[in-house]
Amino acid sequence: MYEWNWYGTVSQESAQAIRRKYGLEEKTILDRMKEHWIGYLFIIPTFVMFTLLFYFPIARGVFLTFTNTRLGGSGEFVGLENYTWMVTNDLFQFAFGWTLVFVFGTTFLQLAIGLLAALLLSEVVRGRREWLSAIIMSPYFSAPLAGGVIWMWFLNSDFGMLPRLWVDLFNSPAPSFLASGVWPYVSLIVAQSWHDYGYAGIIYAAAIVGIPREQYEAAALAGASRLRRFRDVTLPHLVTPTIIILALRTAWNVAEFAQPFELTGGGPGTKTMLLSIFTYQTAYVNLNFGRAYTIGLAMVAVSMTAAIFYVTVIQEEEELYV
Amino acid sequence: MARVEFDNVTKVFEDTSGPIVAVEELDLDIPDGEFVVLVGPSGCGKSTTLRMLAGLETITDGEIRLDGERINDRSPKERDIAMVFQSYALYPHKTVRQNMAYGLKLSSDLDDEEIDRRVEEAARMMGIEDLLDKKPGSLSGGQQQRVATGRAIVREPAVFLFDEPLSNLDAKLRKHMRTELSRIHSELGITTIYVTHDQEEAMTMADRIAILDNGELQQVGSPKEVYYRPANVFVADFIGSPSMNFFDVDLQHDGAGSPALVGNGFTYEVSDELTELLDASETEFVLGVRPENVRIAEDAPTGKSISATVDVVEVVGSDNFVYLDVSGRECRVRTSSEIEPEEGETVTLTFDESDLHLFDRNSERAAVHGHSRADHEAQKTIAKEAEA
Repeated sequence: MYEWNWYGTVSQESAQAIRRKYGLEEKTILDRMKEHWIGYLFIIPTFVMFTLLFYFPIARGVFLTFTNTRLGGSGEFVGLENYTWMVTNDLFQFAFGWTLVFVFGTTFLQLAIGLLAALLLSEVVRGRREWLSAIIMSPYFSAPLAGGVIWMWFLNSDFGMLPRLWVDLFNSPAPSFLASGVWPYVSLIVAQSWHDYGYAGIIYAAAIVGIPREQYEAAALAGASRLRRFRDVTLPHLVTPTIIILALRTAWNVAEFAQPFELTGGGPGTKTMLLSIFTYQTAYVNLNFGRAYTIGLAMVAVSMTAAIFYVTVIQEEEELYV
Repeated sequence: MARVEFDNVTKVFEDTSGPIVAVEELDLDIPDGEFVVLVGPSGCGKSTTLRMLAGLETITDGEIRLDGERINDRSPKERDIAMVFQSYALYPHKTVRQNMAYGLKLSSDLDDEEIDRRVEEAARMMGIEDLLDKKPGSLSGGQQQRVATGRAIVREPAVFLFDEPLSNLDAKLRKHMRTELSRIHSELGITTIYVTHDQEEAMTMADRIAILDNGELQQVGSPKEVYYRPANVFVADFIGSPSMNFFDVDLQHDGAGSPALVGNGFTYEVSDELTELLDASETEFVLGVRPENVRIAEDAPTGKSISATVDVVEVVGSDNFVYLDVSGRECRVRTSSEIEPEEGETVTLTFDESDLHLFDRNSERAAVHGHSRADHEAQKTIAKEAEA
């Protein structure tokens, strides 16, 4: 008899006993590598590319934040100066707050609209469903820049469709959707939600299709109304997809650049400055890479905090779910 | 508790490839408290029938009545029917207790204490008291089955429906659950309709069996009735394992001698009493005889012996299944375990006239059953007495 521990492996002494019994020798890492050399051969290209294009730039970037590197020359080590600059910078403070509003606004709108689209699609018969889902999801497949152009045509005060419609409907001059009052914020959030709700829709649709039909039937026989079945059968099955969508969408919405840049470019002035656009300006307009990378790290911190928050909160929620 | 009536019920599915008749003009009257098993091969319409009764499928034509009331247009929750699904359909996010209480919470006005009491009672009945606070994901298949059944019985519905509830269990557990379900039925006495493709399950559990094929009802009767007096070739073939042997035979009367059934490679003499029961103009029949009624016997009477070559002998322990070749047709024989002929050996087979079944070769309907002779005689005397 060998002793088994919590991890399902045998303890050290038992491992020795088994090896002695069957005349085996303990394998070193080198032995394992020799044994599986062909597997290592296959992952080497990916490993090399990842190191060159991903891990190295990250490490290098983190290092950059401690220097005053600008375009051209290699900078000098300046300690935490970039960080103190960042947290005391008014524009950064504003952009940080507005980014949070933008990210959570778009993420939750995308989630809600995506869920609605997925639910509607699940009611449509097969055959028609595929076509309809392709149409409904199409914004997601359009390039963000193209999405920006489309919304520009909608919202622009000089030639946009929406201002015209506003004038016709309300008989009063339209607000400047990309400049005045709260309108630019609303416009950016709506446009961004429009572009990416399809992502949530696709994942929700797949999850809904996977829910066993019998569970709905059993609930119907038990006396559950349609709404009740949605709450008791559909929703519990959507908890895990929701965590995935929330975490990924948050990260992507934090990093979103193309469409807001196309629509307002952070303006008018710096009125709608997002962290992503701020990073771009610091790096490529002011050519200060050290500072730009510092802002970039702040964005990473936002995404990661949000992801950890979602996972813990929703796990607890799942435990509570009745 | 309730009586269930199917009156001329038809279900047509409209598919992209055109309409498909799943159930055709089904008539079935199930008295209160009966355990009826719907059995048939896959695609025969048995599950559709069950789902129409539950309200999960619409009814194309005809009427389903529960205690005399038409329920065609009632929603599932208004029918007071509980169903156990093949996949169990337990709610994965609820504990066993919550799963079982769900129906009572939604469709009854019992207070929480009463619901809890009933859940615990049902759990005791199913032997799952220890599992009440677990979630379905951590249970074995057999335990999930018990929870699903428990969830149905806790509601004390008018009718129980089971849709192949044991198909996902291993053979041993399946047999055990069979007895368990029968016990629960006799304890509760609730009308039960049980769908399976397993004829053995049907035979062991049912008060009455309804055999379906191609959406049509083939026969309804007690297990003994469908076994001893199958209405047609399909039922004869479907019920019993290994299934019945069939041979095409012609009935021949050669003057003086007794009449005989002549098949490919054998002649089997039958008595006048048997042929009297047949339509005189018919001579083409299918002879059916069950593997358990055929004997390997060298001392068989000459007029009733069939020569056959042994193909394969399967040892199952209690019996031997011998597969033989009778002039190119396979013949299955179930013998006691002592009789174990060599493969390739030529043996003589025989069976009693009382064990044979004759079917009309064109319509495939039963013409006469060996066992039925006695009660035919009885019926004839009764009829004569009545006339007199």
